Amino acid sequence: MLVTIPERTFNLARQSIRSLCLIMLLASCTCVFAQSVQLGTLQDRVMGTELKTVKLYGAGGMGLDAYQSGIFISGDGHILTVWSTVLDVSDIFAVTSDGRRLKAQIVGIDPNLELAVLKADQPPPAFFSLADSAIATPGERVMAISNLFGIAAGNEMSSVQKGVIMTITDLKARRGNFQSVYQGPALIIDAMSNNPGAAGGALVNLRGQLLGVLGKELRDTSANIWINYALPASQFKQSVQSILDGKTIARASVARKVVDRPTSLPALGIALIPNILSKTPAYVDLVEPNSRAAKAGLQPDDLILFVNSQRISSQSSLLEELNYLDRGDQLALLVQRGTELREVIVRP
Amino acid sequence: MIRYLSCFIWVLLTLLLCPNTRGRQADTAPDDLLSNEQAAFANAVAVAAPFVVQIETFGGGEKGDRQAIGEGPVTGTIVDKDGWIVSSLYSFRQVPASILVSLPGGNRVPARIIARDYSREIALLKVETPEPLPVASSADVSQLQVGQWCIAIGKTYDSRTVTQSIGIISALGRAYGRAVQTDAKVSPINYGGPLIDLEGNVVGILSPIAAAEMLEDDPSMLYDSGIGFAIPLQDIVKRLPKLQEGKDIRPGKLGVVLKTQNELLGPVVLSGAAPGTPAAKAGAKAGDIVAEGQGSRIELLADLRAALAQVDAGDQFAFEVKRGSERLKLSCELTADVPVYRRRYLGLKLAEVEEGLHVTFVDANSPADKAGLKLRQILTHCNGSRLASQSDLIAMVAVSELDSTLSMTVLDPSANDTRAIVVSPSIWPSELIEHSPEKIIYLDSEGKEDPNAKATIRLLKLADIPNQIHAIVPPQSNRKKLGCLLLFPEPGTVEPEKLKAQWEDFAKNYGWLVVVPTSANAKNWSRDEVTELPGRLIARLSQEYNLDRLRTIVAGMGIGGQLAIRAAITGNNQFSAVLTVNTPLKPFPLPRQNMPLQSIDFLFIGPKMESVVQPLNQQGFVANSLNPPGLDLTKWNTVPMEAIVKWLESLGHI
Repeated sequence: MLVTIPERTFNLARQSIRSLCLIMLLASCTCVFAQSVQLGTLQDRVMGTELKTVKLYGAGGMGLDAYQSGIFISGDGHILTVWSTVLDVSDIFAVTSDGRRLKAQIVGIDPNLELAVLKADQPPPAFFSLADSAIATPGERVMAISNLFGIAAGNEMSSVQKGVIMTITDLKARRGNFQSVYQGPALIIDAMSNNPGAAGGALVNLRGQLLGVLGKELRDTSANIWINYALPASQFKQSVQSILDGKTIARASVARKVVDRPTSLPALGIALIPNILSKTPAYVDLVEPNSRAAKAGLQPDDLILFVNSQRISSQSSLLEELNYLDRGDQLALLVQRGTELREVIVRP
Repeated sequence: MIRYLSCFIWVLLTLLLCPNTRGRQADTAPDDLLSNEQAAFANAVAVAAPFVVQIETFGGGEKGDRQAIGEGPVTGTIVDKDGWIVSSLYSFRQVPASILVSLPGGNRVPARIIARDYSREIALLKVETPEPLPVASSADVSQLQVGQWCIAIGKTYDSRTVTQSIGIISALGRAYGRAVQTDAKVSPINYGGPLIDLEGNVVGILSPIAAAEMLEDDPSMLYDSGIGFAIPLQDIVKRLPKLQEGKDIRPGKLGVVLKTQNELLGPVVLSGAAPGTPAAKAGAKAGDIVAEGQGSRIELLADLRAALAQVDAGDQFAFEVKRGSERLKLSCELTADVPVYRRRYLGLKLAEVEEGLHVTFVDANSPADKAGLKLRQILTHCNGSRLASQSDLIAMVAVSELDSTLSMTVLDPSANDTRAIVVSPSIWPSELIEHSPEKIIYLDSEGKEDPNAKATIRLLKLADIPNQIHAIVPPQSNRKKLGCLLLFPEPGTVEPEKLKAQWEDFAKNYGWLVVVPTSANAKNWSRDEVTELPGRLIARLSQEYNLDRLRTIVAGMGIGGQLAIRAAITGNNQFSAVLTVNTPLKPFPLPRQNMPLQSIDFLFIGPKMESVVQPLNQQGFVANSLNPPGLDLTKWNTVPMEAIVKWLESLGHI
């Protein structure tokens, strides 16, 4: 491996070995050993992972960025990155942390994870082995490595940020007005890791093991704030292997389907209070006698809070939800009646 | 390379052969350190997780009162085993149709808002629970050290697991002592959750609170910025009994009128106490220097604010003032609201002369008229203080109680006698003041009327300001105190000749500077053009001319009127009044009530302005509208210039 590392990196490696030797020499005579070695070790791990990340340049324009990040995943120059407009060119340029400019082309994509595998025309300085990736745990300290904002140029290293895994949760996020394609588990990070250009970068633990790949910029649907997250390696390991094996990955629709015979408020025998606000609560105004709702025991002034565990924040979210429910379905409503919560089962 | 490798191997061998344990430590220490740290974080989170709950709200409009931030769940922290939960006020400024709390056992139960602390931006909720709930314990904030680890906990993504963001304590005593600052990520993801130390004790409740200089903006916009705030749980627990009784807590108002609004200037000199406020009842007076508040030394205005933030409306506030050579201990009960202040009125126009203030006009039926004050008399003293300038009298009149009297010492130069006259100030008349403004007669060097005295027009240049600025300057401008009318026209170019023709008589006859900036862009004004331009212009003009603060007005024609209003509201008390002509306006209550010496008067010219006038009147401001018959707003000559001049000149009255 050392043979392919050019002068600059070699110098860095040499320096770090030299300082390690010095530190060890000193340490064998003193007691401050643990701290010094700890720093040295972390630095080495950061160095190692930086060599495994790569700066990608492709198509841009129309206010879109023409750069993003990627990680090397094989000694043959395979690069894992996010599938985005940056890749909409025949030749993508990959600039390695040791300053080489490689040409790369798309090998395959996973439309469900919005990830792409590229192949560069030269071997990388170092790479992550997906087989050795680790499973993240909430509260674990992590490092995010990417070329966010395109700060790094030429042989400059990617930027490293520290943080912790805030939590692991299903991604409920959107880009503009559109729900994100991927809605599976995501590693939420408490660092400002997902800025322009960061997508495709690496998330590693303090041992330098790959935990995931930084995703595109998204806003959290419910809190309406930008989130920082990574797709866990466990989610893409298999799919990447399939792409490397030459298989095509079909698009699986994760969107909920509007049913053919959706139910409706009149069909259930429910009339709500007039919908005059942008977020009028789903208060029941009238219940038709002998209707399904009446038989279930729903009453005027009940406030509908959940339908089959789907949160109903307003009348419009109730109307939306009914589109996904067949007329023949049984509905479990959670309603507030006065200060009490009640479950109301509306049978077909 | 070989050299280094051999060196490395040598060290390794030494270490391996070493009989002591240091070598083994070396091998494992880094990971030990990291895993120990990791374990400490995990332990702290495990301690805190049980008393952190998820709160879902249904309906109830927008979050916060400024900007809709989404409707997702928020976090709460249990502070009492019987079901008392605190959260950030962020989600609870309005009352949602329903609030559900997911208790530690996984049970979803309805909750009610019991009370709000508007000073610390905290809401107290209550749920009914058959079994006692796990309770947060407070960290001792006085023992906190800047730089120590802390963890921000939230529970918004799901009701069973918490989110954690690790950071350090960045500062103590923020937002005038109300908050602790952290660099952990604080956002709607964890607002209402606890900031804990490594023992799992709660430092404070995460909340987007406004700190000193950012009062204008929405503090939740600082989310995830590395600047997060937590309200010490200690301070909340102290107030829990009151909140549990359903009593809201509001910031306590004192009601002092300050000589300077700059937080970082000291000492804190009072121009008086606003009538009817706690400060007035405590006996604070003009000229007092606030030296101490709640036992803490006060040097800057910020110190006074911090002393006030320790207590709430309804609490006693003890302060000490220096009055001359004396030090007085004062105290009062702070109130949530102070009485609506209305500008005071004597009905006098005055000119500064050597002996005092020379009466140049007395409004008919005004308090001054009723007291018997006459033209050409000179006021030398008021309540025993010598009147060296108009501002001395203005300050005393502004803070006078309505049933109080002012004793004037009046010199009558013609009779050469001095007498005492007692005037009782009233509030400023709601109707426009009827008077006939006197035209200035310009004399030449021989004392004859100068026929060549004419207003001139000039261009003003300000660095970094792209706008073209014309100023119409009255003759002999360096001899008199001048009024200043800053006029924002409709966007587009301005013809200097037309401008001059329109305003030269006004400028000359009444001694006003008329300053007209042109929009940088021909099609429209931008908001940015108001942020800097008015303040810079007034500062610049003040260097060259003697401006009369009472008659420094910002005005606007059409859309320009909206800029004028913004300039007056956001300005640093530079403008005493706003005039708009044919400006489309919706009612715009001001972000603050009227206060002595910080009044802004309003005159709106155009149809249907009553709805704009009314809310301003309610806040105590003097506001009027004019819609004379035959007003054609496309033709300048139909604009009632005479009425405008009357109003502009009346602003110079006291």
